[in-house]
Formats: sequence, C-alpha cells, structure tokens
Amino acid sequence: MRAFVEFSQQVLSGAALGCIYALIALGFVLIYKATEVVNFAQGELMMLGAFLGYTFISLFGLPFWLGLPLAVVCMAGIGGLLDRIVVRPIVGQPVFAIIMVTLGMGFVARSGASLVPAWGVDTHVFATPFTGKVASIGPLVASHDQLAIMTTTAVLVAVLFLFFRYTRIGIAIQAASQNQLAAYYVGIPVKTICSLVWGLSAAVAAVAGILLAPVVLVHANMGFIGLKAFPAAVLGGFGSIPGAIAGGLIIGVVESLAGFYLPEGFKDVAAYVVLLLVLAIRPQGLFGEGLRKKV
Amino acid sequence: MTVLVEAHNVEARYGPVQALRGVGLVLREAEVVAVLGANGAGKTTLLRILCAALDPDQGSVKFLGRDIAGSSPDRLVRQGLAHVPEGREVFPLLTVRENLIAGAFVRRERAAIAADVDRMYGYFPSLRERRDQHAAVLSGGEQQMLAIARALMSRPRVLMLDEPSLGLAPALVKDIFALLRRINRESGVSILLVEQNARQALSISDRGYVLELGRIVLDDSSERLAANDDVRESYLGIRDKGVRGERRWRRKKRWR
Ligand SMILES: Nc1ncnc2c1ncn2[C@@H]1O[C@H](COP(=O)(O)OP(=O)(O)O)[C@@H](O)[C@H]1O
Ligand SMILES: [Mg+2]
Repeated sequence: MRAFVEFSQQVLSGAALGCIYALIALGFVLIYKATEVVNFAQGELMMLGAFLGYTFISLFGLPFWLGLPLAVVCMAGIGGLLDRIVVRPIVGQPVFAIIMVTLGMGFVARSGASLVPAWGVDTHVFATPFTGKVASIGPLVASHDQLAIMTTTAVLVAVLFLFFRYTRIGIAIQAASQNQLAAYYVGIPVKTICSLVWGLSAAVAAVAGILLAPVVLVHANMGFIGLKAFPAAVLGGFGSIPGAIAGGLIIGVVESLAGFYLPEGFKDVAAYVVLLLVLAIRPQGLFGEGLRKKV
Repeated sequence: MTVLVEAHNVEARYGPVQALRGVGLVLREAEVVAVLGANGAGKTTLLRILCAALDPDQGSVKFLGRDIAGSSPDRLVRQGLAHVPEGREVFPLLTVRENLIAGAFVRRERAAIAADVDRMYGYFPSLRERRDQHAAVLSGGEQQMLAIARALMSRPRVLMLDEPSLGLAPALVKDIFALLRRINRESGVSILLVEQNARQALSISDRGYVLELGRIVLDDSSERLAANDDVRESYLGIRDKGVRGERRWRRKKRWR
C-alpha cells in the first residue's frame, strides 16, 4: 500500500511538470505545423514570459490576475513581431539556416534577459496566489502550484481545441498548416496567419513560464527546460497537438519516477531514453499522422 | 458585357524555358471560356499568373479593370476571383464541411455561409454524405467536387479551374462540367476552364482559346472551334478525309 502511494505521488508530481513540458511542446508543434520552422527558442519564450510576469506582479505590484494576462498579451505581441521581423525574411532558406536563427534567438533572449537591470543573472522568487499552499487528496499531497499548473493546462488545451475546431481563424490556421498554397487560393492571408501562430505559441509559453516560476524560480536559463519539451513534441509525433500533450505528460511522469526509483543521473536522460524507445517501435511518434504534408 | 479579366501580351519564363509567349485573353461577365492545350502548353502557368500567384516576366493582367501587379491570390479572392488549382489541393485533415468553411474565409456573415454550405451539398450530394469525413479519404472525383465547392464558397465573380477533369472517369467529368454550366447560369459567375479534355470543355463553353507551346494559336467561339479541322485533329482525335500534313496555325507561324 505504501509503495502504491509513493508511486502515485511521483506520478502526480511528474504530471504537473509534464504539463509544463506539454505547453512548451505545444508551442513547438503549433509553429512547426503552420510554418515548418522548428523554434528552438520556445523555452526562451517561456523564460521571457516568466520574467514579464515577475516584473508586472512582483516588481510593479500588479494583482496576479491583472499581471498574468498582461504578460501573456505582451508575449503574444513579441511572438508576432519575432515572426514578422526575424523569421519571415528567412523562410525558404535552407533548414539549417532557420535552425541557426531560432537557436540564435534563444541566445539573444538569454543574454538579453540577464542584461536587464532588474532581472540580471540572479534567480528570483516569484510568489503567486498559489504559492506555499498544499492540498491533500486522500493520502497524496499536491501543492497549489502543481494543481494550478494542471488545471490551467487542461483549460488551455480545451480552449485551444474549441478554437481550432469551431472558429473561422482556427480553421484557417489548420488549413494554412495543411496546404499553404491552397490556403492562399481560398483567400487566407498565410503570412498574417503565421504571425498569429507565433503570437499564440509565445502566449502559451508565457502561461507555462508564469505557472512554472514559483516551482523552479525565475532565472535567465530557465528556458533550458525546452530541451525536455522538445523530445516531448517528437514523442507525440511532432505536428500533433494531442501528441504534444501526451508526450509532455509521459516525459514528466517517467522523469519523476526515474528520479525516485533509479540512481541519480537517470532522471535527466529519462526523457531521451523514452523517446528512443518509442521511436524504435513507432518511428512516426505516438500520434504521428501517416499523411505527409504537401508542399 | 463587362470585361472581368484581361491579360495582355503575357510572357513567362522558368529559367531557360519560355512557358508563355505574348498571351492575351479576355473573360467577360457571365461567360464560360475554355483554354485548351496539351500537357506542358502553359495552362497552369497562365492560371497562376491570372490569380497573381506568379508574376509575369512581361505583359499585364487586369482584374475588374485594375492591374493585379503586386497583388496576391488571397487579396484577389477578396475581390471576387477564385481559383481551383491543378490537383485539387483540398485540406486533407479538415473535414468536408471544414474545407467549405475555410473556403468562405473572406466572408463574415455566418448565416449566409451556412446557407451556402447547404447550397454546395445541393450541387454535390455526395459531399453532404461525407461532410464529417476528412477530405483525405474522399475519392478523386469527390475531392474535385470539394475543391470546386470550396472555391464557390467565397462567392466569386470569376471562377478559374485548372484541369478539373484530370484523372476522373468520363461520365463524372460530364456531370461536373454540366454542373459548372448550371452554376454559371444560376449565379452568373464567369468561368475560365483550363483543360486538355477539349471535347467536354467545348461542349459547355461559349468561347475558347487554344494554347500551344505557350502561344495562343486559335481563339474563337466554342462551336466553331469544335468544328475546326485542326482542333478536331489535335484535340478531339478526329481525322477527317485526307491526312493533313501540317496544322494551319503552324504554317502561318512559320511564314511570319
Ligand atoms: N516550376 C517549374 N520550373 C521549370 N519549368 C516549369 C515549371 N512549371 C512549368 N514548367 C514548364 O513550363 C511549361 C508550361 O508548364 P505548365 O504551365 O505547367 O503547362 P500545363 O499546365 O499546360 O501542362 C512546361 O514546359 C513546363 O515544363
Ligand atoms: Mg497544368
């Protein structure tokens, strides 16, 4: 019985962290599907979102429920601008050039953040209304931060699902990511849609950053968590939104279990071990679509 | 009748390949015009230029009296020019209904869009049956119907189609072409039909152009084109008494 409770406890905390991976992976997938660009700076977008949240809420003293949407909207704007100014001019260049540019964006974001006077290279404690409270669910315990992460992720995923399924813009985004040329031919302004998707991904990243901040503290290198979200996206079949969510959760849980049951050091490679195993059996990823995208 | 599309002296090159040479063309209100040509004649290139997906190397194209230079396909859709591209190009992972909704992207009125979705199901009953299935699983004919219906969802004044008959059974082609004519009569939409299938295209069009190696070599009413010896020989596969060694327009070209 005790062993089972321990196990469940690890699954619970793994799922909470997995939600963060899932949200970042979701950003990878959205951008990749719409623009065929793999944005290696997705983790850094999350970091910037966390810093903006920290600035508005802890430094400026805005109420959490005002500071959060403000940071998210700012990040959406930054994401859209990044697409417009940095990414759009290089679309159509060789893949490695695009990869270098997004990697470079990550470097610039990290050093840029540490140059901001109030941010610097220090870690910052960022308290949210959830911080420090703990709930018990039967024999299990979960911090309110963890519960907030899981609830918000669930709500966000549901909202995105409805958005893609039922709104004019959501359907247009899907159309543009399935066949760009045909999207132009039905009157969808594909470039604007791409900027919109970058904005959306940056906004989701900001939410992830602000949820994660109380757990891991805010610092310029917190975006490295993107290195774990990337295998999550690949695991799910890079290009599938449900896949990104499932991939994130799986990697979070496996990592947490590995950290608890296996010797030290296994935790950090667990994500990649799972990825290799899954890809060996299902090369297209868990939710990978058999259909190849048309040019 | 008002001229909707007007191309003048259009030239296009892909590197060393000259795809179009001095092409001129006119499409008027409520007309159905066919552009006939064999494989590689430059039909797709011409349509791409007419909808601003491709810039001509020379010459000009006007839509509704305005030069389209610097415009783009999505902007022209807003002004009433819809294009059914070669190879259908449906959105594979959207359902039939979602494909139609995507086709109405430039419109806002929800009720009118829903009514038009129903109108499309009326034209193409098999799409209604398959409305909740992904477009990827439709047959070639159904995908072609979907591509046409999707283009009509923008309520265009001009509908341009690139070889809609490609890969479809003759009976189905006949049905689809008859439907195009009906839609043209009912809604007044002008149709520019680019085809290799000359017989079917001429049977529903008012006028036609014959494109050969990037040049317009004939331009006449569809009736007269269908009766033209050269067209009968090269595009309808009919050989009349006495084998003609040379086609007339070829001879004319050489003497120029
Ligand atoms: N993307 C391209 N690159 C190079 N040559 C092309 C390209 N597209 C078409 N062509 C050439 O231009 C000519 C006209 O092609 P196209 O317009 O596709 O003809 P059609 O649609 O009548 O079959 C052909 O000789 C073809 O080989
Ligand atoms: Mg063609």
